[in-house]
Amino acid sequence: MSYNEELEPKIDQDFVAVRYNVELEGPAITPENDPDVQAILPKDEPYRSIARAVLRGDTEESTIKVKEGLNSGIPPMDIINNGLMKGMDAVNELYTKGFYFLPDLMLSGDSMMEGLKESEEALGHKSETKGTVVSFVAEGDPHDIGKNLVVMFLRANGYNAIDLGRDVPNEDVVNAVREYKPLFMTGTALMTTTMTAFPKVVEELEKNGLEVPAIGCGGGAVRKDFIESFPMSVYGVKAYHTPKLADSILKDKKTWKEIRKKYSKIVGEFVPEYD
Amino acid sequence: MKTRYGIALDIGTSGIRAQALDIENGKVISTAITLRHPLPGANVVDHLHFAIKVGRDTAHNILIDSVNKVIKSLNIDLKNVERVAVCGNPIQLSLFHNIEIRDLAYWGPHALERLHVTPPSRNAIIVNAREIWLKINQEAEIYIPPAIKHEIGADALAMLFKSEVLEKKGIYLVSDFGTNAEIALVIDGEVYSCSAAAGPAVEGQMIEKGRLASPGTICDLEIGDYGWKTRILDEDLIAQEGDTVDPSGGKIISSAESSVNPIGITGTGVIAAYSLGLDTGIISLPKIKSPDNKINLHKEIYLTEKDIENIGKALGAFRAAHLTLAEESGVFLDEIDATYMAGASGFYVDPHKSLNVGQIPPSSREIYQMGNTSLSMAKDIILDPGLLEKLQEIADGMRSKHITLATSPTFEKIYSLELAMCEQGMPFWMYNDWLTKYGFQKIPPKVSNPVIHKIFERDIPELGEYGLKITKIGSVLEAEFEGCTNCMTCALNCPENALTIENGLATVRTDRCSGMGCLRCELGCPQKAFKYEKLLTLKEKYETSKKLKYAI
Repeated sequence: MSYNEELEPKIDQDFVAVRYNVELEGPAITPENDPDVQAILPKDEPYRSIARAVLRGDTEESTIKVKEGLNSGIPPMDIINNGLMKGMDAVNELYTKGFYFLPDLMLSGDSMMEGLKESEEALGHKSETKGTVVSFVAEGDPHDIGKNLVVMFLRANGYNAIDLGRDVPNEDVVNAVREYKPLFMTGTALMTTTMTAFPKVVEELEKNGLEVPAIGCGGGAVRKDFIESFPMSVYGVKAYHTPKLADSILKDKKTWKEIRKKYSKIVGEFVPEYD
Repeated sequence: MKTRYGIALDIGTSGIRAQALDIENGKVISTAITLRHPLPGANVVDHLHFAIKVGRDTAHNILIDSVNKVIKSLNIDLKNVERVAVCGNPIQLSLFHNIEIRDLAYWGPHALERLHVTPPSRNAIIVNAREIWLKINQEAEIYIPPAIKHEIGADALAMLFKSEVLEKKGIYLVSDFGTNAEIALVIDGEVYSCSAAAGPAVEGQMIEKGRLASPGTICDLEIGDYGWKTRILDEDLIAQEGDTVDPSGGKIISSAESSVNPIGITGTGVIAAYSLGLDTGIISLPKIKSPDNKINLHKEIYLTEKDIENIGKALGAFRAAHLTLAEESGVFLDEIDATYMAGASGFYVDPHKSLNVGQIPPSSREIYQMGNTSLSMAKDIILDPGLLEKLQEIADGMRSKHITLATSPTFEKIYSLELAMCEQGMPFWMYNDWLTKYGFQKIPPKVSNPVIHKIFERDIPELGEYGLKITKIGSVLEAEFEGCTNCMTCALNCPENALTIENGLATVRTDRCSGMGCLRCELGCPQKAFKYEKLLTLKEKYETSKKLKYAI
């Protein structure tokens, strides 16, 4: 008996049975056959093929289809909004339903970003997004998996995420705020030695008369009570909450104080940390 | 003729272990340990953080103060100690030696440039007792073994040296399990290493009812007739049979002969619960399928879904680390000839469960549980001080490649699969599908009958004629806070019962305190009067201990 077969009985079969790509009985259901996905996917070509390539996380295919579309004279903005973003909307739908997992999202995000790069090259400038978010990992900290997820979720939801990388000095963070005037900012740290950068960043911003509506801070060693011990900050619990927090600032003009109070409501789920 | 003594020391993140030896015949005379590290913190980064905040000298003095207490309880004439050999990770050895530590506290160039830090040499060195302020014969020689490289310390050297895999043909996986796991894949003598911040979860910390291994903690579980049979550590830290419990409802099915109420669950117990939970289906990641969504192990002892997530992430770091090492070195995990487990938790854990949950690869055919290799190497140095030079030669000549997991794209891809499993409940077969999609090897099938080599009964094989002594650390930090209303919130918030406060005077037990990673005392103070920093400003005892020479 293989390891897989041994583990299989441990998995909740009721749950698995409704998942995709599972050949339990009868033919596997493909992601694009999901009724909600059907409703999101565009009907017309080349948008449909582009969106499907993103949905499948097929970077090669999405790049080819985007290039074909651009060569046939379709405006880059239409490719982005009617093709790439629709594909990402479908991915988000499946992720929210629990049929797609983190790696699906990462792969689809990559294919979307490649298509976006092609389109923006044709456009000659950055495309318009919902807003700009700056993300960084605290100085002295190499752990950037969390930050990479945050950036991916933001981009998947139509935000322009500026990725400052890992081990980012505080003054670089301050300069980025000056330059990009972000709607939202995220800082992550895994070590207790490095998370102390967050209050210092806030202090530097205040000293320079700069303000960000909210700075979402999170990561392994970081706790809510620490984050709430200084202003401008919000404790982020899960990476996938980030676009929802950004949406609340963009659409409802929420401040960091309000986000702290309404976190569960904003992200649309019960969050024990905020109970 | 007087007996000439040597002392072997292991400074670990979860405590200090010491043994007195007779230099002439190599006999162990006595053993003393602490159950905690004297510096506040649940992991070595917390220790570092504390040391940077309080100042290196003070941190060194607190550590040495505890080392002296441990040595004192060895029950030998300290005037006749001629040699001390110490082993541990680079952070602990640097604190012991009182050399630069900040290069170990931050990654990347920015923080170190800003602070003008130059990494020190961590080569093998001999100092004398006077320099370290050990309260023994002041002319005694102190042997500090080398780190292999900046990232790989003497503790990793010890596990490689004691497993004797460096000179052998074949593929070996050697790990020292602690709060930070040192893992090395050795292929015909070439070492691929990494350090997995598996986190305190596998040491029983960061788990609601988790505890470091101590008397009264659940250390193992077996499936019994109608429930799970607990095993509980006694006063000598030996596992004894405990009650049998229904994990779903928490009812005690049958009581053991000498029934005790456990006080918590330790790391090996956590691994056992996770393994049994997956086997029986009570864990269906990320959920626990019981009426109260807990795995109940006794009246007040349980694991929550949050705990399960933390354990999953910690064990996931091991599995992802093994795959990353195998991919980077170009071997398959099922080609590994033997798996070596060092460290106390690597010794006491049931290896069948380890391979069931991914702490070691499921294909491990030959498993060696080696015990405390750091202490064992320190003993070797005591009996043959010439070994120190040889160890430096081994470190210098080692063909090795260190993989920083935090910056490895391979690790990131694989760890995201682990997150999908333990946070979202992605099925395991999908995990293997994804590995294939990424072009990586699959997780190999589980072997059914691994051969387990466990030579000793304890992680420290021989305790000596005086047996084991558990030494109390007892160092405290004190500070007075203006504006304190005696509301006791800080003391009640303290998860480790480390803090007492009376009329604004706070006393903190350093060994219990979780330190800079916690700060619940300060963060929860309604008056904003509690300032942890103030505890750090001065503790007369440690400032002056340097001056209080120990005259023999």
